[in-house]
Amino acid sequence: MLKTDLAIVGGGPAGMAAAVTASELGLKCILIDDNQRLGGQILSTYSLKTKKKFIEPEISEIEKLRSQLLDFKVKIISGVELWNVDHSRSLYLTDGNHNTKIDFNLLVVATGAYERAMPFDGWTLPGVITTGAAQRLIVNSGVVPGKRVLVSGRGPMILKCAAQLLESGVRIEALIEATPLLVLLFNGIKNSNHLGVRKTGQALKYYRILQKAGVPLLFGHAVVEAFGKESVEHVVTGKLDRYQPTRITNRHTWDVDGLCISNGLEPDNRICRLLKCKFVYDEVTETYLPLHSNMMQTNIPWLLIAGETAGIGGAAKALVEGKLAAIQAGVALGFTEQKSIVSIANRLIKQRRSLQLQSRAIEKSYIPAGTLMTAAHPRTIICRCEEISRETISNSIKSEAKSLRNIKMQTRVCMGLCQGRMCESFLHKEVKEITGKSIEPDELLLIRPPLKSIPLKVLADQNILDT
Amino acid sequence: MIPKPINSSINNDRDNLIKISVNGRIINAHKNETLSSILIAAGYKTLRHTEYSHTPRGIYCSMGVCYECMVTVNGQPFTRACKTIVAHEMIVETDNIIAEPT
Repeated sequence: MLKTDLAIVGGGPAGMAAAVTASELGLKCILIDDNQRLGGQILSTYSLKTKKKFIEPEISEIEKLRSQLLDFKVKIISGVELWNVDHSRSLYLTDGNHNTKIDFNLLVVATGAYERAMPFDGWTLPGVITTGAAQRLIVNSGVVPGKRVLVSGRGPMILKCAAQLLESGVRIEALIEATPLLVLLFNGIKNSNHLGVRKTGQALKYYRILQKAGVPLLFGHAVVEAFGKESVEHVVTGKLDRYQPTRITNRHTWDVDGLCISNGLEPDNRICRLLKCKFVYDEVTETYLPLHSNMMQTNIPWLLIAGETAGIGGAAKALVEGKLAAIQAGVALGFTEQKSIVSIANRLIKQRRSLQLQSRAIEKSYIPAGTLMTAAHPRTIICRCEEISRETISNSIKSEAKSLRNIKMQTRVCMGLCQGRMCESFLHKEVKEITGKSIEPDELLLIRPPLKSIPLKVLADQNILDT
Repeated sequence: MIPKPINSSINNDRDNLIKISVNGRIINAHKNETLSSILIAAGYKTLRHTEYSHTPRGIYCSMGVCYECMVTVNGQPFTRACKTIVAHEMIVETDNIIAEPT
């Protein structure tokens, strides 16, 4: 068993910044990550060979944090899954065989985000991968997801992925963006004061790379079907209607051997849900977020959050939030006086505000035609793990099912190995489309341990039974 | 006949070369690579078939969230390929009704 002042879950930009700042203030901290290599998803999509134009400006600061962690001798536990946190301020980790229990005074949750797709027939086929997966494949070992690839979805991530794949020698058949061009231009100009020159310039640079290579850019379109025998072979795209979400026109079939999809990010704040934090619904990103203060405190006195967990906003925002959470931890545990850090904290809060406005401006610029469920047929698989179709879910919603829990019990949706990480947002959308009411934050599905699928032998591990 | 080893990556760093076995076939890989990229490079797109509808599945999120890339590693089933760093003489089995890699 280990004991620490501050436990930090997630070794991405937010978690690393929190660990370094907390160490500077003199706190003893432990940094936990499920990957072998620290740096989060942003570093996993970057290597020394990455071309300069694809390197995010935050990379150098993140790299610096990595060496600072070593200087401060922060205890790093990587390559482990966290499967439980309880109100007696203990957390439980496993490497797949054994358990480790850590007692902490304060906890920072900086668990990042995962990608949200848009379900269509055939989205479960091998060869259909997320844009993040495609980037990790290129960076990790120079492997490309196919020879002829279609990139589809919504937002800036598909743009960067397409440009990066193209420069790695992949033929990009087309870039399919769900936002109509006029909507994107209009909103882009409307929000230009918050978007900033750098982000806009970056997007234009990637568009130019694609345009130069003659890649067709289809705006207001989406993938509506993919088929193939053992892996994806053909993809059908269609034009979405801004006013009639179910109407799809201009269908076109593409011959491909890979399809990269992403419709935005879903914050991973399951630890906060497990601990029954107070949540709020964020309309702009259509996500549920833990209610938090400027100093990253939740309504649980010993629980702080940072990074995407507190709302999608990218690495720059994550770095600032990590520092803020660490400062708050330092004050709460008496390692620093409130007076001496007020000016630094205020500067960080101001920085955070402008970065938040920037990421919200990006979200507000990409307003897709159709909805998340536009391409899904009644027979389309919504829950990948348990193979539950849209029809099964909608029938359950229309029947007597009163709560998400009822729907889950009736259909097994969100009950598979991914524990609903892939399909929960579709379930929320479907409930809203059928009942006309959004799911309130306190109606969300309960999250219970284990937080990740772990072998039974881990639960039976003697080390835990003894403590 | 023993099939020829497949070079899994464009990485030419010979010092870190290791060998793993996938469904009995020897594949050259490099240290520190994830199993998922090696499988894709070697042509194993389909890693398993689902329990109910027997439809093919492969790498999807590549960050340990979706559990689609589960294979058997050194006898341990339900191991996520995307979370597995390859080691010398690692024995990997994908599901037994897999299509032969092309």
